[in-house]
Amino acid sequence: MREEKPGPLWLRLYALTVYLFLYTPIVVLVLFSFNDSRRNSSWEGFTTRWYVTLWHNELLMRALLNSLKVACLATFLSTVLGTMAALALSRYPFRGREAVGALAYLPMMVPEIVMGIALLTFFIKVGIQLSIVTVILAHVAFSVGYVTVTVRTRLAGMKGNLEEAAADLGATPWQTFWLVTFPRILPGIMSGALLAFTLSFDDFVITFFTAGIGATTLPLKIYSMLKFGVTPEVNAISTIMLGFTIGLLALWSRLESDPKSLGR
Amino acid sequence: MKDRLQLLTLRPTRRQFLQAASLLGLGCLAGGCLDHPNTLNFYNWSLYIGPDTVRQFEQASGIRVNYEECSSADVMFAKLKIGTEGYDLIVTPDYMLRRLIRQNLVQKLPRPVPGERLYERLRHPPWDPHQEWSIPYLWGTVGIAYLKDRVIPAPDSWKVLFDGKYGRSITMLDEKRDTLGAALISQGFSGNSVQPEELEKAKQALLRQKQWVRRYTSDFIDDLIRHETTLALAWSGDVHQAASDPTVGYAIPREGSFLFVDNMAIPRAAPHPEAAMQFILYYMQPEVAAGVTNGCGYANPIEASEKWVRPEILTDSLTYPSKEVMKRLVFQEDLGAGEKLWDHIWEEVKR
Amino acid sequence: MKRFLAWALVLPFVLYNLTFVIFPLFTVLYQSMFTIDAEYNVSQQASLDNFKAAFSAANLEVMWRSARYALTTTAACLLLGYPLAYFIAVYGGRLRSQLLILVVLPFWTSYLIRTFAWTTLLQKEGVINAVLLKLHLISQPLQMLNTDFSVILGLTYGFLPFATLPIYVSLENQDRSLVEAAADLGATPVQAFWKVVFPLSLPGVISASLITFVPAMGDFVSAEILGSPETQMIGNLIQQQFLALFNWPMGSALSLVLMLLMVTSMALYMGLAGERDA
Repeated sequence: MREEKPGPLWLRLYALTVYLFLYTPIVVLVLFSFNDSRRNSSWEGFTTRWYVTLWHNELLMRALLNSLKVACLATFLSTVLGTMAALALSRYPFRGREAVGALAYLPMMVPEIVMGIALLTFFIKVGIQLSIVTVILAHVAFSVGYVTVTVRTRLAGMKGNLEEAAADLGATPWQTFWLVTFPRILPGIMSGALLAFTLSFDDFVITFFTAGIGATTLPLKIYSMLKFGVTPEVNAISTIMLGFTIGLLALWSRLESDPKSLGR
Repeated sequence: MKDRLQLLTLRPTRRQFLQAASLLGLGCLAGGCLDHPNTLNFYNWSLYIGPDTVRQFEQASGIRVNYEECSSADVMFAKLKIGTEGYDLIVTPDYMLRRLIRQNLVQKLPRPVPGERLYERLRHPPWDPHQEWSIPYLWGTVGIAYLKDRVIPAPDSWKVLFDGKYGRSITMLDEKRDTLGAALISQGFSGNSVQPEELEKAKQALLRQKQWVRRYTSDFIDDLIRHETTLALAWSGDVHQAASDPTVGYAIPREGSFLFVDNMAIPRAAPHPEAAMQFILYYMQPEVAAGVTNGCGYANPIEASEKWVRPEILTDSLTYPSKEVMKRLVFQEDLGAGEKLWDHIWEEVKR
Repeated sequence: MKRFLAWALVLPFVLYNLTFVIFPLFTVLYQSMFTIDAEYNVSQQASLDNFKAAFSAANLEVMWRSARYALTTTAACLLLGYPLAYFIAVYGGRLRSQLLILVVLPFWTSYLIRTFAWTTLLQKEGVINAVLLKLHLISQPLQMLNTDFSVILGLTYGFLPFATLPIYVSLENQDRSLVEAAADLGATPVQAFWKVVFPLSLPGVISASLITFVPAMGDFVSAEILGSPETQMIGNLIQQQFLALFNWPMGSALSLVLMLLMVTSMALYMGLAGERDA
């Protein structure tokens, strides 16, 4: 057990300042969701009406729904593909392993805008109509690498003894996987999935280029609002999402204190 | 308690996991992508319609409307150009319609429209003289929005945007036709010029102006209200939407300006052209068009709608300019092969 | 059997990446070699004109600016993120995971909105100016929006958590007894830090730099929301080529140049860092 020291004063102050830097815009964002003015500029008094109008803002709600749809499907697909690849990479030696491992890092090394235009060009050249499907395909393309890396990191810390034991006891590989391996790597898969979901849900750039009809996600909607005037409804929806996340995380962090699995 | 803990630590059994996963997948798939024959996919700008227009149309016609917003005319063109299918009705600027027709991206209206309901001036526009391809949707003017208490006297010339008198506190529109057009007019040329020498002078004016430009943006009103800027190249209707703020004024310079007209048209690949046609005819009823004007502050093209337009809008010279101001306004025309040059200059200016 | 299983597992992933990452990047390369006509149609004649144009003086200035912004952002992220990560890893105690969650939490709100929130703070009649005026630190409101400063601030804010996490991981895994050993041998805490802790955390610092530099270099959101015509980045140019000028070939050429810049600078950086490491 490490003994607990509070650390030097200057370091504590420094850390506090950085937290302030991180949270000031968030506080402002939340505050202005209660501002009694259409504009996000000066404080005009307290109101909760934006939360009501938000509920009736069909376009914004549909955008939220689209975002959830895209993020769910993209997360599901990239988690399956990424986990399979991570298993292969960490469990079995095979020729080309290095190359496949590098492939997982590739989307992280390509700037989003380049990925966006590359996918747009590709879809058009191949003759695929832009739609919500192209958005999902694009999201899987950039998040699957993150899942692979995350799950692989988790797998790296585990020894294969249990699997061998299971095999010795006569379990088929299929049984071994579902009964032994899968439960052990589930937390890792969940971290990967959470990461993929976060990335997909907030993605603007790649969605911007690959979205077709019926695929206006929340970030796209927010972008068009930024172009023509934001209303505090956007602040309200951000506040709700933030509150939701805090609740979920508070729950999670109490039960599973493994911070490394959060965020990229 | 222990079961609960297990659930919360996200360690479900394999069956639960699979069930959840497949439910997730199916739930996501259902609800989307189901094409309905009685649908209208309407692609329009943000905040460019009455608050109830869509709902009332749905009730009157039984057609379900998918209202999609686009963030600029250019994005819309890009989407059509790359062959995006699915839009039934688009709203396109006057200058862009000829290009859309030339490139075979829009189709003729399936039935004749009652063109006589339009204002005289909009009845035979150069981009579509006989309403074969389109019908005007809304119109407005390009001018200068300014803070009344800072800009004294009120601007009456484009020069005020180009002489730097108010320092680095200007925004210009992020649309080449408006910004480069205004620069051309300020230099004494036609706002639709394709003469290289004239465009060169306009470009120089814009490059010189850049030191005073805070940004090229369509959301100029926000910056004005926050007092970040004092002057903006502006669209009339957006100023109207902010009319609750009495500090913002709007002027159309004496050198003249643009009367811009946005038009409804039906893309070539529209899956439901008939629904689009129904919306067009629905919209051309005076009460309906008036509802859109009342909702978004831009004038509509239907003359008889004036009876239903709120009097404070009708009498506001911001939305309905006087006869003599109207004389100074010109349409934004198709540039033909000159467009390339405009693009080139715009690229240089914005870089 | 095992090898077959490995390939069966990895094949979908590989195929997906080939189809939706590698192949699209090649279509960009292909596209960059054509030009467009007055109706925005792509011509049939291949040429390298786009690359000549991509390296025009004006474009080089934008690229240099993007690189400067991205480097400044990376430096700022390390400067802010390292002490924070150090504080959490070494002194966080029981609250470590909560403190770390606090770092990533802001990032469950939209990047666009987070960036936009800064306008409210930075504007002339905004919170920061009001505080500074009250404290009589300034007599005139500062113009902070639409400047280099605001764009770099937006980028730094956007990527700080990405920079903090890898540093944290590299610090957390360190054996603290090394520091104690250094102290026993007479090293001051400062010496112990620079001789022991920092070198061991270098891998974290390197991945933090990359994970900040890459998205910062290609970003166009911060410059669009917080910037001015004088702060355009290469991402803005690419976006404009695609969506306002419809010159996809030119936009493709610019993207490739961006990739080239990125790869070169990363190789350079890795080389330098590797040397230090060794």
